[in-house]
Amino acid sequence: MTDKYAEKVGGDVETIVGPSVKVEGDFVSEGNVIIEGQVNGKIKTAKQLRVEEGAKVNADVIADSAVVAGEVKGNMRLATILELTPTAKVFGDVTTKTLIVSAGAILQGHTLMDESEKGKGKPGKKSEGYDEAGLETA
Amino acid sequence: MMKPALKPLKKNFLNPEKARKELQSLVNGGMQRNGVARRIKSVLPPANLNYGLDKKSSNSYIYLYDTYVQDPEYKNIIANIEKRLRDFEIFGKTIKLSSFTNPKVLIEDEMRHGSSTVVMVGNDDTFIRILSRAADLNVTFGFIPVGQKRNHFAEVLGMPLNEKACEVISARKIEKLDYATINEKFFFICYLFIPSAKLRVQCDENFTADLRQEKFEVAIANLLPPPFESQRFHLHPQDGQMEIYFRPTGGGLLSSLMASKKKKKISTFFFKKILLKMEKPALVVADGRESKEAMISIEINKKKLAMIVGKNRQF
Repeated sequence: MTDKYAEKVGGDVETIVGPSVKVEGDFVSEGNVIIEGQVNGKIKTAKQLRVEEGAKVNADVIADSAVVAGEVKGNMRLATILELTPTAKVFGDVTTKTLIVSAGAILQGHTLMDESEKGKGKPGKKSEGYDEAGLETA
Repeated sequence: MMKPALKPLKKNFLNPEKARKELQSLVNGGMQRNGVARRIKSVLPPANLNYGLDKKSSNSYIYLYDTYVQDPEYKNIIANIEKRLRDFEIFGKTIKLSSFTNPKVLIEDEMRHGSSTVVMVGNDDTFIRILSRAADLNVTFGFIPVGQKRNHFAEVLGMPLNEKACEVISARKIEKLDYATINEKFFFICYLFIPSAKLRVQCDENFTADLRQEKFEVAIANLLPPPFESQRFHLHPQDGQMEIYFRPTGGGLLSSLMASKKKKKISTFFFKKILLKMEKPALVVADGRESKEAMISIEINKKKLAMIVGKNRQF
């Protein structure tokens, strides 16, 4: 794998779905995942998920952290951080410990933030309709 | 009355050194055509062939010599190798492979006679040719790379070239490696490559990947990096999974020029079991073995291949 990919996810990349590849089913990985194509079903990874610009994910996501630049339709549950870049579009509920939203990003859904449970347990502070940065999400 | 050339030998009165020399020359020279050899063989049960070297149960070693090492240019190297093996007391039966030899049948036959270590003497081609047929046999494999050419696997396994490898064989540091079974028939340990195909992939019975929008090069890597992604590839032939890579071929020159850079990006997954269904039968190269396949199933056999390795191995 290339240095470029490794730099993006801060370590070794394990799985890459390229731009012209369409994946259907339960996509489970122990390592970092980069999506540049299309995924329908479920995504689960113990490390970072990166959804690149132009990528389409119609799936519920469970990951340690995620950086989204493409489109995600489905609920996202992150243990640590969700970062939405200016081109990101997320349609679904998000549970995470830390949320970073860049100007221009679209987030439509409920946002659940719970530091103690690292985004996996009971819902804590709930900011329906607004993201952490105070931007209207729906 | 003339004495027979050799008296019938009894095991109790066998001069080990003499027998070793005689048998060795006969084995190397073609035992089946020699009547004297038949007499000796009838006295010594095959399972007890030890050539007089009992200290490290050398009867358990067999050495498979590839055809090319019989060329005069390798004569000295082979002589040095055999000398070193004798020094280490691990010399055993040597068998010269021909292009028609089925290594699996041969090794199975030797296993019945007590051999438990098979040492391949040759180069990458020897290594691949033997293991693609015989990887599932319950023996320990060793490798003595001969000559400078086509000996990449020697580097991977940490085996020094020529007679220097004998020391590593003698040390018997054994690692269990993964290998894959293709269509429940053949094996590959190093790599599989499909130059061009449109295909669907069923991975670990969890998800399917559709790669029919365009043609892809497909590579599966275990002991060799894929041809198009070798810079940062790390060998991990003991983790029970293999990595599959897909790269769009980009079609002809014109379409390659017109194709966006984005379209050349590689996809890669890890798998334990995978099914590749090609839209049309496509050329598949598995450890050098070429065939045309419409569908191939590949299953990983985790740590099932016992291999003698050196301390400088790359994994």
